[in-house]
Amino acid sequence: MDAIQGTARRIRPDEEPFAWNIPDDWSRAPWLQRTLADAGFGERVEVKQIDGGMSAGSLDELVDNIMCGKDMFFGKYSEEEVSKIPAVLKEEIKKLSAYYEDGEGVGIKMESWVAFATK
Amino acid sequence: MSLPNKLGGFGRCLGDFPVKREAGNGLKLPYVSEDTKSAPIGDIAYPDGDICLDPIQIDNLRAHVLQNLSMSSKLSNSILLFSKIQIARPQTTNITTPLISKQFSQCLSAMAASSLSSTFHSTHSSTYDRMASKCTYSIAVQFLPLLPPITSSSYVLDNSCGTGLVTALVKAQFPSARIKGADLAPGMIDMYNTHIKANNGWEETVSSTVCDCRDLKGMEDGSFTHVVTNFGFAPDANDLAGPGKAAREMWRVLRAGGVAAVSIWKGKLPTMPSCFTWSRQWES
Repeated sequence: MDAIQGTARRIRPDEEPFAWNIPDDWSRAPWLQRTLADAGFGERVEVKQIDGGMSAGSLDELVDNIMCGKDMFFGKYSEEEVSKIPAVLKEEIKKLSAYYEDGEGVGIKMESWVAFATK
Repeated sequence: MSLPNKLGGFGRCLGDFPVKREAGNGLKLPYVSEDTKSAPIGDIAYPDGDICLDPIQIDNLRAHVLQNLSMSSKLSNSILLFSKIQIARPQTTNITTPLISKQFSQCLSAMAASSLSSTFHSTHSSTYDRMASKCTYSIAVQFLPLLPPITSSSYVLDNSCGTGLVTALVKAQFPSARIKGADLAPGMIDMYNTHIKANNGWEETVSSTVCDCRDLKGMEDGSFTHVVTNFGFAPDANDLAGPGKAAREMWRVLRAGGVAAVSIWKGKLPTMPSCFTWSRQWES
């Protein structure tokens, strides 16, 4: 999202970029654990951090993939503005600390919480 | 003339499955080349000459891999491809043995998903999953092996199933698993059903329903041994009570002793929209 929002800010600096407005809690482990505990699982909930991420054979491919969501992220942009997105997005992705290149291509590291709850 | 060989050097996933080496036929598998980033799919890498399999051997190899495939951490870094094994003319590849080993593990990853048809992939790759660039897959492939074993008596709910990545991963490791896919978005279920039809044997063991994870209508209490909700826990940001409802429904439909696995993105902002959010935009 940082790269997408960074891209949006560079192309339309006066407009608030697209965002999913969900509560901050919804991406935190204690919230996940508590929600499942309260649902009936009680103390039989374990939360682990598992890291993964986006990956593609090249940065161009990764940008092409993300552009599949352009109607969501950049829905009201003109054709001219949309044409600028790939190059700007590529620069914004490369700025990310989570961005990497390796022998298999490129990627953006992402972190997740996974809860295992036993009934 | 055929010479017995073993592929034990290709990693524990393949084990000691015997193959024959002979001229004339080759085994074509998808892999991602490490020496050229741009080569998406190629022919199998041959260690020192052509590894050749006849059609029966290929079927056996495929069955062996699918039965014994361990969703190890290797897979998390692998490429999700959707291709089927097929006979092909051999193609000489000049690569070293260690590279072959890694490529073969990538082949195995591809084979884990090989039950997805190319037609499905064509549709699939242009939308949600393509945008995801394997991010949801990269997490599922790591946590599914942490679940209690799935057996032929298990019944798995792929909750907020989207296009069916979790189902494909479960079926790759446990071909006999009974699975129900449920998603609020009809478009996702259409794609999921395409996936079911495209795979031999799935119609007997896999079913689907358009269903909101917050209200699993039609699913009886205590039905499932496993409920997997991979990034579909909070389908609607406007429903603050949604995740709680979804959690209660998961608890309700699980058998005693059953396990629910739920993944969410970590961080201030979600990196990916849910399938539901995506499909609302996509189907509009």
